[in-house]
Amino acid sequence: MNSMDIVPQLILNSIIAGAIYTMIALGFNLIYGTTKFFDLGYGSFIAIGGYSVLFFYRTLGFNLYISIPLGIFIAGLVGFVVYRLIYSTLRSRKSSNMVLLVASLGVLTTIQAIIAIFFTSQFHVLSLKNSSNPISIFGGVITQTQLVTFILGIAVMVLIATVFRCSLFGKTIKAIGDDEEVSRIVGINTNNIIGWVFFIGSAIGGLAGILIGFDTGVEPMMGLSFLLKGMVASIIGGIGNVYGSVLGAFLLAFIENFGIWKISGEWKDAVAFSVLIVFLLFRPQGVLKR
Amino acid sequence: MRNKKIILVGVLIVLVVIVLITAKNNNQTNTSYNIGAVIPLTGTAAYWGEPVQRGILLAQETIDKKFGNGTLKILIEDGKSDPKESVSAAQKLLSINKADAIYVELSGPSSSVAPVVKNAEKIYYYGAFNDKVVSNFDNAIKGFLSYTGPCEFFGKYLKSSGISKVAILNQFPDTAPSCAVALEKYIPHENILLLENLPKDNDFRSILLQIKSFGAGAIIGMTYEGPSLAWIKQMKDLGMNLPVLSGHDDALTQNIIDTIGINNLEGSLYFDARVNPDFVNFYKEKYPDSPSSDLIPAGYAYEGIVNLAEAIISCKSNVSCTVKSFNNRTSDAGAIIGAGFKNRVLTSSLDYYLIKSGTTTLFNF
Amino acid sequence: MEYLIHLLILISIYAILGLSLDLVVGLTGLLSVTQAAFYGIGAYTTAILLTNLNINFFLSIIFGMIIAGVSGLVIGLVLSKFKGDYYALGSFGFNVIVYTILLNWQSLTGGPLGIPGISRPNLFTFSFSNNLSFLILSIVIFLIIFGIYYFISKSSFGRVLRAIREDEEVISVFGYHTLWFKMSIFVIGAMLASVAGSLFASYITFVDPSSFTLTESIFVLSIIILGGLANRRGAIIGAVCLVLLPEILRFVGFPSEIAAQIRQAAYGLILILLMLYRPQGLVGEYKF
Repeated sequence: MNSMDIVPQLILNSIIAGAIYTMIALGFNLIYGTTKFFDLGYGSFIAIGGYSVLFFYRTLGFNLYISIPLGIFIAGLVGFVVYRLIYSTLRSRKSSNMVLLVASLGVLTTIQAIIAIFFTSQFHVLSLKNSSNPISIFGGVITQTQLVTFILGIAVMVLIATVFRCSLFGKTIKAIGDDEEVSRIVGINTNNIIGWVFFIGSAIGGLAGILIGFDTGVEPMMGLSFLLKGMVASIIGGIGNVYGSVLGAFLLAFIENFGIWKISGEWKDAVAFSVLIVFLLFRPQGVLKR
Repeated sequence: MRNKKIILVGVLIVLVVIVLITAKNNNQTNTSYNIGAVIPLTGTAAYWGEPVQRGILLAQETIDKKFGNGTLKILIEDGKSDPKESVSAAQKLLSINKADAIYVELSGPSSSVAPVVKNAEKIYYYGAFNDKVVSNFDNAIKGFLSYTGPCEFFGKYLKSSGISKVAILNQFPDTAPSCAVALEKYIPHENILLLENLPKDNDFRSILLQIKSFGAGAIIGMTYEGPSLAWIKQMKDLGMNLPVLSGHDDALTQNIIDTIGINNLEGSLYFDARVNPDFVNFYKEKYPDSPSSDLIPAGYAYEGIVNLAEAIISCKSNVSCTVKSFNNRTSDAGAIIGAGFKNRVLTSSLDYYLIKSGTTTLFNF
Repeated sequence: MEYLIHLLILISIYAILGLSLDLVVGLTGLLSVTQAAFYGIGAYTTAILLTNLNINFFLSIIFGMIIAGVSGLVIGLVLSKFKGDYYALGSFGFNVIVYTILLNWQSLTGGPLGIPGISRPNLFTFSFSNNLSFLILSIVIFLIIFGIYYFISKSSFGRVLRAIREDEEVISVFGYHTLWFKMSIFVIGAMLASVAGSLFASYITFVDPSSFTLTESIFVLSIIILGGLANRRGAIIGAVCLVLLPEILRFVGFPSEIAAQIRQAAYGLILILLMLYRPQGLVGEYKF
């Protein structure tokens, strides 16, 4: 068996993983870039997306094209509600980012527990039967689900990029990210806008969760490890920069996949973070500037 | 500031009252004997602990029916899949609930709880994959299958099928080396690829490519249902149609066979520890929506607890008597067919099933 | 009674961890989330030395501190290049790397199966196998570390650290070599965390990598945030609350089958409520 046969497949695998990391990174970047705190709860919004679709599509038997938008919406909604009830209150009291971190830990713990109560801790795959017909590309194989994942990943990136570049909304978000205090003084309703940021960011995370669910599966504690990947990707790429998140995500995916082909699988996380540290050492502002 | 303090104190008082009222119901220990069970109900092993809990609850029903309601109670505490939390749970069960025996599942907690029970001089039953997890505790009872037998059978099957290279995907701590050793009776050492450090995010694609470039003709799956479903699906997606060898409760559960499709698993072989159909009915009656992957963890827990309870009651919770009783126990509690305790280790007779041409048939050489 | 002694031992170990982290986060303002790595280094050093070489526990503490100190030096040096939030992220990374090493260097650490059969401490002819005696030992060690914290906090060294926290640029203009200060306190924090690790390993008599994950580092951070930063009583209060809270929840009568998950949810909710109610921590005067 020629080693060279594997390379096209590894490339394809990396692209798929990169697409998922992209979405998570974009959502994380949006939230972190604007509020500057690590929302651990974001991990649970990823899971909420996947589990909502599990509920609507598998348990209730809704149509696929209704379940998925519902799942995205619910993930966004929960993110928004958590922000309004908890984070916004804390921020209005000028709480430090570490307090928010601990609160977000509480959110993550609670939501994961609630998911486990309703759906048990068993692993579930979202897709029905073995409906994925493999498609051959350049000597490798991907499934329909993976192709959809890739397309959606690019679509989300394009969407976010255009919104940021071209709309007033996007410019406002950037302004808040640069200096919240000043933005407020200038008259921007920061609370409102940040609420929207949480909605959109969590919705994107939820979409990622749904795609992960179709491709691999869902389980209540899935959020945290993907969140960490998203964080690494968006930092490598450059916080606040949409293209950076995408670049960082694909870079991370490629390094991980090619890296662990030769090294053992359990080193995957260590590889990811070593890359992060190397980047932080030599290019802390990320590959692409803000 | 005053008001805040008053509210805080008020809330605390309300909470304490709630705790006291509900605690009374939750922790009665006026039964003659108590078994304390430390189970991973939350944390990374929760998917295992949940069916175990259900098996224990069924065992409680059986014991109540056989011995009367006040004779023996099993108290379940959450070990949180964590060694020190399991110690806290065990300490609580021993000190507060005066448990006569402690039942633990999972390797890490089995190791950490062992000295606690040893010092308390109580009966210890642990479910872990390997003897090494508990040291200096000769009197402990081990309730788990070893994979040496199945792996030897797999080796023989592979050789007879003309498959020369095999990969082992393993996530059960420390069981794979003994599997590899058993395989080596039929497959040379360099033709066995042992992969133990599996990605936690269920993305096995790179590892599957490693297996592909190694040239394995089959994969032995010693992985839990969740990851198993993931890697078998990914293997099919990658166009690798390797036969899967595993237990019917590991990588080839009925759920997985149905999801992947029996026609896509040609040549796969699984061993079935033969859950008793009566137990299946008993279980499904109480938990109709549960997946079939529940049956093995629930069955083993049921088997272990009922046997343990019977021994404790007959020996009046005397430690050495109870343990000696396990040496000779061959009758099973009815969950796992052919289960019995030989030298204080749970064993069961195994059937092997081959998937061929879209059907499963009993397989023998 | 044994149960209570056990909980008190856990509280003292976590209080030590809290103090060690507070030196770095509370006093100096370095958002380090990698304390579990040094905790783990101390634990594994004691585990390996006690099981393989039969070295005295107290000697193993010293070895653990040395290894943790050296690791702290290296990690702290790399981290010192990062600013603000990147510092925290970088520290996440180190925690994950150390955890992965513990998990994969199987010949040394036993991998996921861990190292069982660690003996309790021995001093001359006295063995600390009784939990009560171990509790006294941990309290003594805690008090020593409490003293170290107090000493650092009240000293001029501590004043420089606080100044670095408030405004690093200003203090460096005055001629203080801030890097030296940050590195020292990071190394000290690492060594104290390793002491907690050694205690942990010998108490539970078993270690495995799952006790030293990123989640554990976040837990230690939560202890001092909950208790109150830059306050020596904060670590104690935080440890008491976060160790006792899940144990108290064991006694609340939730409906049986989902009781465990409900307790987790309750724990999460209480964390949120505590942050909402008292974001500066229970005894904190200082808001970061």
